[in-house]
Amino acid sequence: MDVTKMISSAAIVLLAGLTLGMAPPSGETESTSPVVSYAFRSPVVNGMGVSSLADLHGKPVLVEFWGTR
Amino acid sequence: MPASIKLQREYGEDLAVIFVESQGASQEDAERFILRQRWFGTPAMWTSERPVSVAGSGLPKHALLSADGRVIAEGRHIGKKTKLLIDEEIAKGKGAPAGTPKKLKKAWSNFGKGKVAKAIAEAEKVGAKPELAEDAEEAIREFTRRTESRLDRAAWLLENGYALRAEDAVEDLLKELKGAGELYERALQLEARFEEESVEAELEADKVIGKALARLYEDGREEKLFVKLEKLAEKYAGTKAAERARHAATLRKES
Repeated sequence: MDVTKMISSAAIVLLAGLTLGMAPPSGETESTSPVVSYAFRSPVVNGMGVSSLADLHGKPVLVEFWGTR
Repeated sequence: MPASIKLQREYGEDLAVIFVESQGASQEDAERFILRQRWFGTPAMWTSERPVSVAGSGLPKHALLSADGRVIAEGRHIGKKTKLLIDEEIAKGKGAPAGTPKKLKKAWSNFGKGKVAKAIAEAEKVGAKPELAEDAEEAIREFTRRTESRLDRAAWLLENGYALRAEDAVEDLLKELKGAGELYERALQLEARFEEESVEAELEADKVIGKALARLYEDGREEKLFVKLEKLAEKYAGTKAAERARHAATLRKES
């Protein structure tokens, strides 16, 4: 495979990834979506009465997924 | 320390941070972990429920929701771009929503400064013009909704043994709501609750137990701090603050 073909193949793979909305393994991607409304089933630790995401409207919310292991 | 905790410390109440434990730990194990890492002591919240979906399987990962509740960014690492978006959303959350007619901006500006009665009066004045009536009604609804949410939160704090925070919240509400009719009445009703014996007891307990908990969050899992919390839980038995102390003391034991 010559260099031109290799570059074309890489560009097609990259374009396909972007078209399918695949996020890169790290870094930040921007997206837009409808309003997320979620009501928590159990009390949120340190929630101070927060029972749904709607309670937090009016300020940005950073949701971080993490692990203890 | 996770970038989210640093951001929570930097922005305080202007930003909500929710940590979602995603490896199946029980709530108590998650709390022990948080305590060991000394991540308590900020307004950050913790849950094992997933309020929003984020693509990818690795951890950590995050989603940023706008002030109106939409996912506006997601990814693995929290960087400068996320911080810029947070700044923008905080500014948006404090100002008039996009598309607000120019004549209603003064009402929103007053609301942003905590002058709720003035904001409602201004919106009512603007709403006297038929072409702006609908927008003015919407603004008043939003002022009322946000204020009721603060009143509900103050009531929740009071009911759940966070008497000191409730006292501060009610003090702010009284200042901001003077002249705002029923909203002000609700703030006065909350203020009257501080005359009740049970609330006085909660205030006293919260002052002492709050300090002991802050020390635990700062110094980590030291035996003497757990012992102190157990003693305080007995001394202030019957208060919600004592229940918090008792629960914190249970975190000394590994599962």
